[in-house]
Parts: sequence; structure tokens; C-alpha cells
Amino acid sequence: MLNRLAMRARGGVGGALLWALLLSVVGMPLLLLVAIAFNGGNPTDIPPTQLGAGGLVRLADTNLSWIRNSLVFASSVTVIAIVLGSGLAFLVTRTDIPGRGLLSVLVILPYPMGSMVAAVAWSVLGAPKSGMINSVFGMMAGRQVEWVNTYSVPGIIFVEALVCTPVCFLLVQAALRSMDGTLEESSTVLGAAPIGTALRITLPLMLPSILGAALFTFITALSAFAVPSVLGRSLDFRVATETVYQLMNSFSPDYPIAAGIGLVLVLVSTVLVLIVNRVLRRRSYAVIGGKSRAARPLRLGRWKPLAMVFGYGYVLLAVVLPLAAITVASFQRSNRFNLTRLDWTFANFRYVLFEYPQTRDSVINSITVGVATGVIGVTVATMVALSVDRQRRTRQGGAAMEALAMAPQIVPSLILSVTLLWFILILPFRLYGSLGAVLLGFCIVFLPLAYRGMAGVVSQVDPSLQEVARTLGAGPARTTANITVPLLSNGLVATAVLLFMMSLNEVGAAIMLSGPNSSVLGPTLYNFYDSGGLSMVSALAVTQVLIVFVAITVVRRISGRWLNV
Amino acid sequence: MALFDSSDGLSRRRLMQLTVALGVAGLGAPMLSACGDDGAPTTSTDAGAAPDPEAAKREGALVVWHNDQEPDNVKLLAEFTKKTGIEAVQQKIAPAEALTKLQLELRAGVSSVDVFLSSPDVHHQLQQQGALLQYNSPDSGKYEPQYKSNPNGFWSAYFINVTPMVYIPTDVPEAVAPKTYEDLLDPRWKSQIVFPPPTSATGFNWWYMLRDLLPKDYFDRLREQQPRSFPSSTAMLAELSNGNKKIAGSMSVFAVTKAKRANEPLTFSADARGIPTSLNSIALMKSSKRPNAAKMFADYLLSEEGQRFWNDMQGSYSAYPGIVVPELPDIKTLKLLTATDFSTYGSPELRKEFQDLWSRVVGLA
Repeated sequence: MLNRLAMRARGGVGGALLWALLLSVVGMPLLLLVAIAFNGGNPTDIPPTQLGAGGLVRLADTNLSWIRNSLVFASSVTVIAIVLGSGLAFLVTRTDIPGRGLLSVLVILPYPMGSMVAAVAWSVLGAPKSGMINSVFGMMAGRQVEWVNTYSVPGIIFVEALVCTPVCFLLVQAALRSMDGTLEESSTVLGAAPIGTALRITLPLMLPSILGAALFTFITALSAFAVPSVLGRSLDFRVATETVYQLMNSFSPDYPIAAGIGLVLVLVSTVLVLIVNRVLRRRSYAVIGGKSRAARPLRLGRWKPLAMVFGYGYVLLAVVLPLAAITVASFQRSNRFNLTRLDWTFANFRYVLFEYPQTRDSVINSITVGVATGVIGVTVATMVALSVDRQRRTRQGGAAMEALAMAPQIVPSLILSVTLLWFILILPFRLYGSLGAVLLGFCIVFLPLAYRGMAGVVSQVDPSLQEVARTLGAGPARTTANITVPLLSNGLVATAVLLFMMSLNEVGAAIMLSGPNSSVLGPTLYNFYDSGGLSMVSALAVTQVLIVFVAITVVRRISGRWLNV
Repeated sequence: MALFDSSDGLSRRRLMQLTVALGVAGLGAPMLSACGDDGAPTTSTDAGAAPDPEAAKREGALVVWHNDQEPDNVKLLAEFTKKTGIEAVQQKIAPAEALTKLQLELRAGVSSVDVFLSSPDVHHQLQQQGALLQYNSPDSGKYEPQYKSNPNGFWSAYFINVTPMVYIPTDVPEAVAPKTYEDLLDPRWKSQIVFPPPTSATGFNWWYMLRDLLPKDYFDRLREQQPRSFPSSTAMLAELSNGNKKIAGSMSVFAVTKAKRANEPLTFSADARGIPTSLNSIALMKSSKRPNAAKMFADYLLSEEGQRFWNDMQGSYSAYPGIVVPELPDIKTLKLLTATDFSTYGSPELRKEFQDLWSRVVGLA
């Protein structure tokens, strides 16, 4: 009894410290966002000096087309990414499509490559007059054609969807792997075709994971900045993040309107979360039973060629063509090049690798911050996940702490970066201008992703193992080191690697927090796009992709040796 | 209603800081904060005194904010380091973004920038706030009065940014190329024109210098042409090069110099009424932690040697007498429209008027 009380007391102190941590590093920036939105005084003042709804009133008076544009953009991206991601997950998990193992790896690659690289690549590939794809079609047609145009609304939706597809793929694939395969086998035995089985059996059972992936993709697309910003510059189609960027970077920045836009997006995201939760509560989707087992792959039969076009077509559009485009562009002497007039040179790489100091600094800083974000982010997320799990098991709630940990996900990182800048400036110790500021920003922005990853792992661990250790006299530190960490090790490393990859490409959160002594790859590439020219920025993009791939390979090798990741 | 009254502001701020500190301590932030700069200058210096080269080397890497083409600035800093042994780092940052960030930094007392390369109106604003260091470089006496602050020492022009209409002659034949600003309203150029964005100092200068010269309905008619904005000369040039657009309504003339040096076709046309021209100026921050290094950088950039290096590389006209750019016509043969009174030039009201108007013109509002 005394032992249990002592454990509860220790848990109480730990829980209080965790609450303090979350309230200060997550709650405070969100509170600052609300404070800015309700600044009734000078709109350029940070912190605000007067409360009022003037900013929100001015927001209502402005051109609100960004709301419609953002909803159209995010919805379209979500639909395409879900169709592609779910279809690809089904193909590699449930069918006998040739090269399943390779395909499952290739499909994920656009995620670590990042949206900025995709935007640069598709500016090379899909420009209406000079784009490589139109050039090839033009050579085949014997005249100039403009059949492909990524500098258009459908174009930016298409490119963003290619970037978002891997997340949908991973989320749906995880659920497919857990599903009882006998249900689909029964359908096949009863004579249903693969497509029929997929639509009538697999799809309905996958609804929770598909809706979850759709929600995640929709919110991600609402926050998208790089692709609309690079490819949508000449369009009458401003999404929320671009509008915010314009408002923040004008000579008389209107922070209340920018923060108000952030609050509108928070509201939209919150309503969607509630709707999805309500839909999922209406019926049971239990698919993991005690007698369930993995399914044998469905035989595609005559559908195999179509499935291969679908699967490898995505890889072609999302991986092969973009990498080929930036590679060719990076070796060109002039920005004014086309496929009939190539002029090869190493000068761009010489400049980017040896003369441009930001490359070296950004690479070192990005890897440092990436590793630190992985370690710290996963540590905090695991503490939160364990605490929420414990509260749920003891029926003490946990929903509030979980909501707070997930809150940064529904605020676009570009908007959050302004409040983070203010937050970091008012800290009682000097963090601004250092890499620590970027790290703190990344830890906050990626906390929802880390929590999502660790919550799933923690929920699968039987708490009785830790209780037994405590009962046998082990202290919290020893229990954590000997029981909890080994049980969570695979999930810890996988989530840390995910955070590492995300932090290497992040633009929005870093754009206000990085400085000359703390440059990281995302903003460096974004800024270089405006002043370096297409050939040079392609060389930097190729360099970034290589770094990401090498880093991932090294991390997987190291972690795999010990942890079988 | 006051959110943070001065009467109780300290205690609320303290409370906020304590709450924040409690959480961040858990992330090991104190250790990370050691990576940043401390708040005080690393060496003491008299504001107007000549720099001490040895002290400058000890001050650490000089931080330069600019909005030049990044490769140009990187080369400039490398040359400065080669000449002086003083390390320097650069950050490309748009003027409005820089001003926003700088104001936040100054309010928090944690500014990291030493040298701010921007425009006279921005520098004038900072000068009025008392944020600039007054320092006269040895060569500043050689610059004409219109190329430096009054009183002298707060900012000086390091290049003259002439911004004419620019096009690729192989895409736009000389016969149909625009010769006047009204020619941009020709229906053949509908959806074919690029301009700087509403946040651009160059764009603001273009509007400011022409607004009284052009017909009152000019900007409404220009809007009907559906021009689009791009954030830099490089981005605008990319649009011309890839054939998406035909005319840059206003582009820095150094793009033409660079194109000629690369044997690429690019030329400009000048309306007889004049070409809007702005200055790009250097200013030193009073909050600089590397004042000696900052002064040495200003000395170098404003010297004849520094100006020759910069203008040979970057391709703009110099404010230093006697320095010419061979690829461009003599600056004396061009009629330039340049602002001289910066007290009203960069006022928030004018900025707002331009941003609202220009956002509509280029389809951002």
C-alpha cells in the first residue's frame, strides 16, 4: 500500500513537471498567438499593448479568397494523396505486385526529400514553355507544346499531393499490416475480384486509418508553404500561408490579421477533428482479433499491369523525374537551358560545395539540430505518451494533456514561428540567434508527430512489467532504463529518425528563427531559390537530397545493428 | 484595455519569464543558449573613432544582413576577409522582413546584426530611432551629398540601383519593345509583365518616383494588364528566360550587366522622362557587438578598392566618382529619378498606400 502511494506521489510530481513543461513550451506560444490576434493597438506591436478585436475586424474586411483557396487546395491535395497513398499501401501490403519490397521503400522517398526540393524540381520539369516535360513532348510532336503546367492551380495541387502521399501510405499501411487477412481471403474464396475485395472489404475496414491520414494530410496541406510559394507566384490563387507571409513581411506588418488567419485555420482543423471523431464513434472497426493472421497476397492476375503503372508511375513522378530534373539542371552553365541546348559544367557544385559557406554551416547545423530534435522530441513525447497512457489506465483523464501535446499540429508552422520568435525573445536567458532557438522551435512544431508515433508504441506495452519492477524495489530511473526503454526501443528509434528527416526539410518554422550563425537547410534552400538562379539552386537541392539519403542510411545502419529497425 | 501596463508590466513579464523558464529548463536550453551571443559588445569602442584592426579580429565573425544576390554578397565578404583577416557571415533577408525582425530584436535588446545593407529610407527610419552608429569612413568625403545621410555618417550608398524596363531582345523585337511606361499598357503585354512585389524597396521606389509623372488612372490600367510580382531580379529573370513572361516593368540593371558578361541576350529601355533609381546603402548598428569589425567593413566597401571589386562583380553603377561599368551606358547619359528627401519618402502612410495599391495591381489582393 505504502509502495503504491509512493509511486503515485512520484507520478504526481512527474506529472506536474510535465504539465509545467508543456504549458510553458507549447501553451505559451499558443497563448501568444491568441494575444497577437486580439491586439487592439498598433498592429506592428509585439507584444501587443492593448486588447481588442480590431485585427479580426480588419481581417473580415480584407479579401478572404485565401479561405476558399486554402480549402480548395487542402481538400484537393488530401483526396489525391489519400487515393495514391491508400492504393499504394494496398498494393505493397496485400497484393503480389512485382518488387513489393523495393516499391515500399521508393514510395516513402518523397517524404525525406521534402517539399522545397519537389517545388524546385517541378519548376524545372513543369514550366509551361521551358519545362523539360513539354520540351520532350515538343520534340515528339515537332512543335512547341504547353501540355504540362505546374505553374497553375492544378499544378501546385498535384506537386503538393505527391509530397503528402508517403504519409498517407505509411499510416494506411500500418493499419493494413495489423488487419486480419482472413476477411479478404474469405472474399476471394467466395469469388470476388481483387478490386471488389479491396472496395468492399478492405476499404470499409480501413476507414479509421484512412480518415486519420486524410485529417493529417488536410492539416499539413493547410500549412503548406514551399510549393504554393515557389510554383504559385504568378497565380491569382493565394493560400493562407502565403497571405500570412505577405502580411508578416510587409513594411507595416499586420500581425493581428496574420494571427487571426492562424486562428481561423485552428478553428477549421478543430472542427474537422471533432467530425472525424464523431464519425468513427458511430460503429466498430475492430479488425485485430485473437485468431487473426497475416493474409496471403491477393493475386492481381490481369490487373497486374495496371497496378504496376499505378505503383511505379507514382515513383516515376515523385522520385525519378524530380531527381533527374534537378540533377540535369544542376550541371547546366545557364539558367536559360532546355533539353536541345545543354551546356554541362561542374561550376554550380563547385560554388555550392566549396565557395558558398552557408552549405557547410547549414549541413552541420541541420544534422546537429536534426539529431537533437530526434532525441529531445522523442524523450518529451515518450514522457507525455507514458503519462497520458497511465492517466487513461487509471481513469484519471489524459485527454487534456494529449490535446495540448497535439495542439501545435493545427497551427501552420509559419504562423507559429512568429509567436516562437517572440517567445524566444522574452526568455530570461539568451537563446535567440543560436541553434538552440531553432531546436526549441522544431521540438515544439514536431511534438505532435513525435507524440503520435510514441503513443501508439506505448499503448502496446503492458504496464504490469514496469509495476513488477517497481514492486521488486527498482526505482523510477532503473525501471525506465531496464524495462521501459528496451520495450519501446524500436518505436523510439523509428520516431527519432522520422523527426530527424522532418527537421532537415522544415522551412516554415525555421524561416524566422534561423540566423547567420544558425542557418539550416530548409530556409537556406528557400532563400537561395530567390537569388541563386535555377542551376545553382538545383545543385544545392541535389546536395540536400544526398545528405538526407546518406544520413538516413547511416542512422538506419547504426540503429538497425542494435535494434532491428 | 491595457494588456501589459507599465505599472505592473514588470511583474507580469517576470511571471511570464519564470513560467517559460521552468519549461525550457527541461529541454536543457541553458546549455544551448551558450551557443548564442552574449548581450554586450566584445570590445569597447568610441562610436565615431577609427577602428582598431586587432580588436576587430578578436570580436568574432561580423554579421551582415543584406538583400543583394546572395552569391555576390558571399564573394564580397570573402574578399573582405582576405583583405583584413576578419571573418564575416551574411544573411539574405528582404528589407521588410529585416525591419520586422530588427524591431523585435531591438525591443528585446538582443540584436545580432552588425552591418545592415538596405536602403536609405529604411536607414533613415532607424536613424530616427537612434538605432544606427554614426561613423565617417575615410573615403566618405568623396561621395556626393545625395549619396549619404544628413548629417553624415549614418548611411552611405554602396551602389546606385537603376531599375529600367528589361526584356530579352530575341523574345521581344526592338520594334515592339516598350519605350515608355504607357507602352506597358499595350494589350499585347497582357499577362506578360513581371514586377517586384509590394514588399520590395525597388518596387516602392518605382511607384514613388512615377506616381506624379504618370496619368492618374495609370495603375488601374496597369492592373488590367495582370502583371505578376516576383521577389527578386533573379526570379523575374527566370520568368523571362523560361518564356513564361516577356517584360520586366522594373528590374535592377545589374541583371543586364551580368547577362552581357555571360553572353546572354538581355537589354533595357529607358523612358525619356527618366528611370526610377534607388540607392542601396550601408549602415552600422549602434547595438553592434563587433563595432571595430563593422567599421572596417564600411571602410572597405566604401573605399575605391571595395567599390571597384563590388561593381566589377555585381554590375551596378557606383556612387564613388570615376568608377564605370563597361557593359552599361555612362550613367551621365541616363535621366535618373532619385528620391532625396527621406523624411517623407519612407513614411508608414506612403508604404501602406503603395502596398495596398500594388497588392491589387499584381493580383495579391
